[in-house]
Amino acid sequence: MTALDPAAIVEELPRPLLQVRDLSVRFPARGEGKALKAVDRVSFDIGPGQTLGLVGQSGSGKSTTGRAILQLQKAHSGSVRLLGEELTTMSATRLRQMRRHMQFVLQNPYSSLHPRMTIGQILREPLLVHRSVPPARLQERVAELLDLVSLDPGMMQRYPHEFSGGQRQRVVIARALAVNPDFIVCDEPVSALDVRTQAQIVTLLQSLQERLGLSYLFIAHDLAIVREVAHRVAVMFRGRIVEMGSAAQVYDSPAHPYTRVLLDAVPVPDPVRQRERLRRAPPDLHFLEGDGGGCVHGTDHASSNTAEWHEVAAGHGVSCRYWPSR
Amino acid sequence: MAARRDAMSAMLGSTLQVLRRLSARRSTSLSFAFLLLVALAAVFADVLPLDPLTQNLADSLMPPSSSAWFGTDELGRDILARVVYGARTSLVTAFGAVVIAALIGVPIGLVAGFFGDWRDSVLMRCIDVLLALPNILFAMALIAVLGRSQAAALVAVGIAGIPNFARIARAQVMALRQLDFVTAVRSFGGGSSYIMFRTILPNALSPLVVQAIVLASIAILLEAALAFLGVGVPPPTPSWGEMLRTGKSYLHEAPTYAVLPGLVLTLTILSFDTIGRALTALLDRHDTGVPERRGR
Amino acid sequence: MTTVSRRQFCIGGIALAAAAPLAMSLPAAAQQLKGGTLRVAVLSELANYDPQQLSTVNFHVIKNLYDSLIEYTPEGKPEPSLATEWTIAPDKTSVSVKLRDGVAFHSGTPFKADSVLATLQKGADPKRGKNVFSTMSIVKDWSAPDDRTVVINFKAPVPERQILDLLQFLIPIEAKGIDTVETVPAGTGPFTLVSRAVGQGLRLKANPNYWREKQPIVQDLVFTVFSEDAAASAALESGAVDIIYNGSSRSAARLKSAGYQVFSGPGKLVQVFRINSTRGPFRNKSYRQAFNHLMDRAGILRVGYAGMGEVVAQPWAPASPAFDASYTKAYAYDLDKAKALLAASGLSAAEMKDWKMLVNGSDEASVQISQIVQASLGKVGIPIELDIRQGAEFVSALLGGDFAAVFGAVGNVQKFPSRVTTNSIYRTSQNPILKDPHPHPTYVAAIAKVDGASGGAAEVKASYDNLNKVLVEEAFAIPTNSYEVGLIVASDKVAGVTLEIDNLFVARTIGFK
Repeated sequence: MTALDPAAIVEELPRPLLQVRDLSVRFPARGEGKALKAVDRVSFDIGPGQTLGLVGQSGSGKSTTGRAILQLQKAHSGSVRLLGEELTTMSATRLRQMRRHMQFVLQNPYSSLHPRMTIGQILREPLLVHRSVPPARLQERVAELLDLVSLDPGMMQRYPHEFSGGQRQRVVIARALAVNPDFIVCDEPVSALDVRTQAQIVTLLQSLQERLGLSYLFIAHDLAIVREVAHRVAVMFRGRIVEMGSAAQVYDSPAHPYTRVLLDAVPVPDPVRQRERLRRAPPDLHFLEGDGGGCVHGTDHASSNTAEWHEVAAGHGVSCRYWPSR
Repeated sequence: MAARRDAMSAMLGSTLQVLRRLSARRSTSLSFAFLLLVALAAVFADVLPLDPLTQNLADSLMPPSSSAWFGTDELGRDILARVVYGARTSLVTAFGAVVIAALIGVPIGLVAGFFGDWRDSVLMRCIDVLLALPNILFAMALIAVLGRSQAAALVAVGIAGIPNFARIARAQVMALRQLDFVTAVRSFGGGSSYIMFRTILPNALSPLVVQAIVLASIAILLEAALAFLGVGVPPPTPSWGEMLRTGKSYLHEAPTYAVLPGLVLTLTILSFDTIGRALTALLDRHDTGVPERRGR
Repeated sequence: MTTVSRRQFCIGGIALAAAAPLAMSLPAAAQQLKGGTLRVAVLSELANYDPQQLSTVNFHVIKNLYDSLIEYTPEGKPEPSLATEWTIAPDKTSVSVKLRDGVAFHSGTPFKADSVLATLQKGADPKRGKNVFSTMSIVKDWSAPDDRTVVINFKAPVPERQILDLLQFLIPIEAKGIDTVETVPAGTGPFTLVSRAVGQGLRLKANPNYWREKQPIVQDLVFTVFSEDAAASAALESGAVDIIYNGSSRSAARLKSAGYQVFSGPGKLVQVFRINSTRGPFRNKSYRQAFNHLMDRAGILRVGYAGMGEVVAQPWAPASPAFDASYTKAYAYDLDKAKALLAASGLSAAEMKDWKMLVNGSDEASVQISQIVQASLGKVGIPIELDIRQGAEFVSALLGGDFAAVFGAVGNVQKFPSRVTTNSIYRTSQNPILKDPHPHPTYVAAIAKVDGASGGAAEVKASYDNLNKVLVEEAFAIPTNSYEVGLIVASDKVAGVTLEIDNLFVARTIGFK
């Protein structure tokens, strides 16, 4: 195994639409304590028409990463480039213009829609903000959007509370699509929905990706859904990416112990295998601190000034941090 | 334009909804009726056969009679007419003061709560200073500078009401700004002022409406207090506070002179308070301005 | 000598309306009165203890801490006090005053000529002379031939009445206490200071060495300051005080009908609508004259002063030698006459209403009577606004002449007619409102004629008539009514109230039945 720069992993992919480098987010400490490193030196790329699945326990920094990329959360350091433009240092005005290229689909379709506006008003908002459609065409465009997410354009005059969760999430997606974005952060887009609706929304997102060539950062804790939608998967633990590779690489041959723990927690439909798994000794969940300590692969990253990252196969990398203590 | 209309209709819808629920109670519907009466009197005072200004020195300090239902004052003027026209003074002052307080206080609160940075510190310290000054002293000082007039009283009472609106608006923004639908607007590129006024304000409206009603009663009382202290609307313009001020000197000779305007003033303030309380209770139960979470 | 000096006028329990007060010999009445603690409600805090600060706010203490050289009876007859006799030189250019023997200041220092000289010195000093200063303008110099005699020389022959007014104004202050007199009383009066609580009141006790026999009657004299007239009335009715001094006429009228004793002194004030004839439409003489007829005097008297007083068109109380009742009839409230004069002025409607009436917002009566005039003006097509100001803001505008027109009372209306010039609007030189040169030279000449009329009765009468005629013609000050000041409302347990010419409060003769 050789230590590699994470950027090297994706070099064979098409020119990235989104490029994230060493992105860190810190939350100021309350009182005397140390600042919390919510996101710590995260790097990855997403190509056009690609989906990166971001998995991890709650509190691992997935959502914060998504928000930091969208500049809804101030980054402490690092860079985020969308379509080749650096977002972290961009002026507020320019950033607002850039937002038409990147959109956000939030987890909860009940709270992410303005409760006192009709569906039509809600869908009109981004169009008005970006003045992307002449006023005369507003109505037409809203109908188009509803059609795109398979909703009846006649529902325009209704309020969000008159809709089911799945229908609302379709509205949320339609709103995200309103300005023809290139990239959408989907933050747990289906976790608030029932299983049948989840499948419908996932199918919708996939078909929209095919039709419109969208890129997704798909944040979820449900590994099964991520496997279904993601081309590549990144596993986050305590603010860092500990493993990243193609969906098949990560799911079928996990290299980092934490990834294994995560995958083992997923119930398997085969009762024999499930029983066997439960009989196995629980993995040691005491992980090393992220900083300092030796590299499990014996590389001295400090002296060689390399990232704590090791490629186990082409496009499949793993961090040497957070291995179980021995 | 369209966005403004959308936000406006959202505001109006929620306000009407609340009003409909309110009128179900007996005490509040009585209060509504009384305030409606006062408001109608103020609006249609000119149409009524009442003259608040003509003096009749020969018939001063008359007790209530069929020709002057509330009696006459020391200059022989009809007290009922002066109470009716005084309603105009009171309501105009109250309305103007609330508008001033809201127009200045709400943006201050929105900006302070929305950004929460140095702007919050600076603005809220200013508000604290304003709050630390007793309303009446502040108003009197302002009138001393501006001179005695209805406009001065209105501005003075209005400025005294700014902290109320600023604090409520700030608290609302701080509760609302982290909500998903606000984040959503921010993520698709809504600017700060768009989010503050189009997204957050319509949802923060209910508590602000309650505040407006509470402040209206405070404004009426403060206006009366200023007039009572002799720095309100200058005579001969009728004002309830001015009538109390003069009437108190005639408590022995003509007790109704001070008592009747005082009664109308008390009932007006009581009505505003009753409605304000009912509204607060209603909003606490049904609608805190934060969307309900259902279906989880 | 002593019989004269002891004679006091005492009007006990005589109703207010009684035109001629009954005079009776004091000792006879005093002997029947008992001592005790006399509790007096006042409506203003005193400014200081300086007897030359003859402001109404000090009126309740001056005659109790001090004595003047001579006193006037309510009818204006001079009587000895600290001066036992006075001799006016035949050419009326000097007066020689004999001082009382055996009198001591509160500090124990004997009363001698040095204190009178020090008092004259203070009065003649423009910085320290306060309200006495203008009266001192006739004085050239003074001397003390011995400890018991003071001679005052005048610049020119002075009418006798003016000399007496000066002696009445001179209140001897102890020479060594003269610099601290504002904070430490230094007099010979019937009471001495015990304590003062600023804003609340003042406590005095009887001066054991007082020179008037058997006076004062009460041992303790307590003043309590009330900010509200109604509160003072309530205190009297509940028995918390025995006397209200200087309350409102309306309360007095009500308390009188409730059975309380009301005493009104001769020192009335006259309410005057003061016009700044250097401003706006008021520069027009015909326009000003219309105001002679725009004053609803009867209404003003009734609403503002509960009818206690008299309507007047001249700045004189009926006791004044210049009083002429015919003017009240000739210049009565008459809107038609007013309209004719307004039309004759040639001013446009816009010019006529181009001013505001200054109003003393702290004085309820002023607010009311100003509204009456405002309504009268409205009836003749002159809608004007009131500019209501409070307290010091009003006083500075009033005395500084920063107004177009304003109601303000004038005093000294019962004395020598030219004394009216002590009031700012009537000043003949350095008038703060009308400025110099005086815009009404006929008025200045008329005053000079009154001052110079030292000849026969006919000459004096002619000078008064001329002054009256000039006053209504020039019309820069429109008197409306006289009213009571320094009213004394007393419970029926109290007797022995002495009326003072300027309505100062005299407690030394008061006792309990």
